[in-house]
Amino acid sequence: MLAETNLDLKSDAQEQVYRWAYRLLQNHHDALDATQEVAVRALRQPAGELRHARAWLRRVTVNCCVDMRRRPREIEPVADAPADEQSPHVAMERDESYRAVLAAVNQLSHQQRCVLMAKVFDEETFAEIAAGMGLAISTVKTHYLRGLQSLREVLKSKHEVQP
Amino acid sequence: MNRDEFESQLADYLGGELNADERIRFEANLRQDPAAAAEVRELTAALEDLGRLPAVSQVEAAMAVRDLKVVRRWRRQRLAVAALKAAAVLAIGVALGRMTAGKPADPSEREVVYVTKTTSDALGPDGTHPGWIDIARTSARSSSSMVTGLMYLANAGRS
Repeated sequence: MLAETNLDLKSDAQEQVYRWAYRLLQNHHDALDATQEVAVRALRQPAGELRHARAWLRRVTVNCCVDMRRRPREIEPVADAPADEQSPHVAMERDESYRAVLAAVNQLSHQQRCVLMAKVFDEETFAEIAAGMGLAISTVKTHYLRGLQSLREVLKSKHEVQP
Repeated sequence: MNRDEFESQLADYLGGELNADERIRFEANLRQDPAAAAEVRELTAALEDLGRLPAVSQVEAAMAVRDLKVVRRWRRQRLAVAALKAAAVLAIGVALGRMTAGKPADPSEREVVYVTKTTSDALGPDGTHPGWIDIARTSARSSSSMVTGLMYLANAGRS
């Protein structure tokens, strides 16, 4: 999946990276920047060293997006919002809720983020995730549950703070 | 069931990795354990929050990546054009500089230089040191050609 020649990202890999990045950034241009950054990092990666290219790409994408999310970002939907969400108030609330989730995701540990992305976004099995990340299945499950617990706690505390 | 076993099953349950029988059994256990049921509700809510983040379709991703390639190509072309422009402007600037600053000094100036070198204490007809006059003339000429070159560069850069 990773190598076109030895180093260049194939289009389908770029698409996958873009989809991950968009999910974590909710901004088209930032997702493109992240995709480009991941492509550059892939170019620097010596060929043949990657046993689990998909897991590597996901890990690098997550890192890249977390770095980018440290700066304030605008929510910028790629597709047009549905008709029932056209009102500015609804759109604002929706963006606010995305921002809260993204901020909560940013507070997770790197491994929790990777596991949650693989499980929730990519619908991989715990066994696949464990193989990709080089971890035991039980460890992956623990990261999954702790990640969800942290996410819930952060989001709950945000809801409680808001009037 | 101890805590580790419960967590393993909970992860499988939330992750959709229990088969139908295991799922029914797990849910039956939850009905008897309100605390565990509350925990499951909380974690399910977190999963829903995460899952609500909009995703892009394969088609949208393909179009976006195509944009990326276009942007890359466009950036490369823009860089190449800028480099060519800079090289051309630099070459013209150097040529202009040489044309104006590279002229041989006229005979009278050569004489002044000669006088300056041979009789360093001699004063010119206006009472100033000829060496200073010569140096001043030379540097003024160099400055003028440098200014001409820079103005040309600035104008070329703007265009």
